[in-house]
Amino acid sequence: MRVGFPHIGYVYVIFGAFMRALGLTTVIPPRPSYNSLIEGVKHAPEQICVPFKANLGCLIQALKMGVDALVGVHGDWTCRFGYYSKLHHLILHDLGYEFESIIIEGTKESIKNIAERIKEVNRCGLTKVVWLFLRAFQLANKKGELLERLQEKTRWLRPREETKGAAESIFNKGIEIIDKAESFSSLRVAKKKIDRMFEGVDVKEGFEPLKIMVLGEVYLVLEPLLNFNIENKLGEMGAEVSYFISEHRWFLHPFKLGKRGRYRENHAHKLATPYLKYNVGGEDKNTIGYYLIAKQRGYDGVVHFKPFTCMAEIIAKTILYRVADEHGLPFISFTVDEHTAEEGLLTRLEAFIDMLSEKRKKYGGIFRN
Amino acid sequence: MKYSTNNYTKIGFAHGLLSYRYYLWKEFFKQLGFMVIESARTTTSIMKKGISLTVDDTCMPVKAFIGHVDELLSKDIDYLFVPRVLTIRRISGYYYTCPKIIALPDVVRAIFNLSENTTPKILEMEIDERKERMESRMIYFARKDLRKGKRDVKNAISVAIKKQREYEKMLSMKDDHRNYNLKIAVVGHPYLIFDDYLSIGLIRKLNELDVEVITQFIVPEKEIEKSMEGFFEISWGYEREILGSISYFTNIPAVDGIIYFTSFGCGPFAVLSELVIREIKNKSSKPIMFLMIDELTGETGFITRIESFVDMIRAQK
Repeated sequence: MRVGFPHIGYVYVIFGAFMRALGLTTVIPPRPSYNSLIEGVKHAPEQICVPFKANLGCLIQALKMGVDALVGVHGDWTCRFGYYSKLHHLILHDLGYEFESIIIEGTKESIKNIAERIKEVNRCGLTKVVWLFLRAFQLANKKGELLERLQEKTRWLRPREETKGAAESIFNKGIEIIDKAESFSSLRVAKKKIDRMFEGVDVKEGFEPLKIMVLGEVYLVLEPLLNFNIENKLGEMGAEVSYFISEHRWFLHPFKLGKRGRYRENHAHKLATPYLKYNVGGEDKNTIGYYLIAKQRGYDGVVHFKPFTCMAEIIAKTILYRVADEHGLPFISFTVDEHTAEEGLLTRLEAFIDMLSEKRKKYGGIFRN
Repeated sequence: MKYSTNNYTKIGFAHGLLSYRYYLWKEFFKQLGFMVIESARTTTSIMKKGISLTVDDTCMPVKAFIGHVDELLSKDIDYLFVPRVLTIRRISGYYYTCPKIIALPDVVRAIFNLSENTTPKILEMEIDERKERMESRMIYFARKDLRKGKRDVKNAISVAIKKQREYEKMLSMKDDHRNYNLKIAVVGHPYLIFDDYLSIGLIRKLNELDVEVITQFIVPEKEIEKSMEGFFEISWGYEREILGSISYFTNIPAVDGIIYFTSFGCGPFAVLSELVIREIKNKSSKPIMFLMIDELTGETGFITRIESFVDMIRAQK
C-alpha cells in the first residue's frame, strides 16, 4: 500500500521510517515550495491558518505522484489542527482525487482499526503487529535522536564557520545519510559518518555569537519555507539559534514521551501557568514557558512566529507582551501567511539583531531589565 | 481562592461575549446583594480602545470585550467579573468553547496588568461542565469563595435561573407581531447578532426590508443535534449549535434564506464555512450567505450586501 502524508519540517525522515518499518510503502512528496503553497491556497478556506494551506498543497503533490491512502490525525481539541486531516480529505475527495483516508484518532476503536490494516498488509498475527510497532518506534526514535544531534551540531557551527556554507552543506549531506539508513546498524555507521564530517571544519576562535531562541507555532518553527530559513539567516548574521522543539520531540508527543529530559517541557509549562492557566491548543503554553526558560538560560533574544488568525498564538502573543514587560528579554513577533514577503521580514530581523548586538556591547554581555 | 466582599462591593460586568448567552450570572450577583456595575452598550470609543489594546488579528467580539473592560476600570470597581468557561454540556456530550473564551481571564490580566495586589481584582469563576453543572458551580463559588450564607445563595440561584429561562424565551420569540412576507434565519454567535453596534443593526435593517428574522435560538437542542449527524465530530459547543441549525434550517420550507453572520478572525468559522460549502450546499438549493464583518466594515457596503441578498431571494420566489 502506497501511503502519503504532508511535510512538517524534516519529520518525513522519522515518520517515513516509522511507516516503512510497519511494512507500508511511503510516498514522500517534494519539499514544500511556494508553488505547492499556492496550490493549497487555491482550494483551502480563506481564513484558515497557513499550515493547513501548505499541507493541502503537499498532499496534492503526493496524490499526483500516486498514492493509495493518505494518513492524518484527528482529535477533538480546541485548536483547528484537530480538524486538519478530515477537512483535507473532504476537500481532496471533492476535487476528484481517489484515495483511501486513514485517520488516526486517540480512541481505542481507531487504534484497533489501524492494527487490523497492518495485519492485512503484512499478512501476520497480532503479536507480530505489536512486535513490528515496537521495532518501528525504536527505529524512528533512534533516527530522531540522530537527526536532533545533526541539527544541534549544525546550529552550533553556523555562526562560527570560517568558510561560508560549510554547515549548510554538511547538514544537507547528513539528512541524506540519515534518510537512507533503514536499520539499527546502518544508523550507527551514519552517526560516526556525521561526527567525522564535523571534525574537519575550521571554526572561528573566541567568537561568542548572540543566542536566539525561536518560539511559536510548531509548523512555522520547523518548516524552512514558511520561516524563510530563519536558522540559516540568523546564522549568517552571526547568531546561534536554538529551537524550543525539534522534529524528534514533536514525533514523540503523541506517545506521551519527550516532555521531560534536558528540554524540560514540563518545567516550561509550570513556568507558564501563572500567566496562562490552560493549554488551549497550538503551542501557547510552550511559547510563554520557553520565553521564561530562555531568560533563565541567558539568551539574548527571542523570535516568535505566529500564523495569521491562529487562535492559540494570538493569546500567547497578547500575554507575551506582559511577560516581556516583567522580564525584559527582547522579543520580536512575526505574523506569517502566504502573502508575507521575505525581504520585509529580513529587514525587521536585521534591525532586531543589530539592536541586540548593540545592547550586548553596552552592557558587556550581561543584560539588565 | 478567597475573596473578601461585603454588600457595598462593586462588581463590574463587561457587556460582551458570553454575557449575551448567560443572563443568570449578572442576576445571581445582584440577588446576592452586590452592587453590579455594567458597562454601557458598545460604542465607537469602546471599540477603538479595544482595538488599540489587543493584537491585530484578534476577533472583533474579543476586542469589544477588552474595550468594555477598559471602560469599567475607569468606574472605580472592586471586582471585575471575568468567567472562564471551559466546557459546556449539550445533549450529546461535553464540548469545548473557543480558546479565546477559555483564556479570557488570562488575557484580561495580561492586557491591563492586573494581579492579586491590584484593584480591581478579577472574580474568576471557572466553569467546567464535565465536572459539575454551571448552576452547582455557581452555588459552590458563592458559598466557598465569596462566603455567602446558604439561604441567600439558594434564593439567588433560583431567581437567577428563572430570569435565565425568561431571557432564553425572549431570545427565541420575535418581538413584534407584524406580518412579513419573507423569512430569513440569521445564524451566528449571540454576542455578534444581538450587539447593535457590532452587527451594524443587522436585525433592524432586515426588518426594515420587510423581512422576518429568526435566529438559531428558536431551534430546540434536540433538533440541532439530530441535524449534526453526517458531519464529522465538531468539538466546539457553540459551533455545533451554529452548524446544526444551518443544516436544520435548510430543510425547513418556511425559511427563505440563511445568513451565517460572523466576524473576521473567528477561528472556527474557517472550518465551518468549508463544511457548509461542501456538505450542506450540495444537498439543498436554499440561499446561504456568509456575512463577515470587522471593525473596518462600512455601513453602506454592508447594507448593499443585505439588500442584494434579499432582492435575490425575492426574485427567486
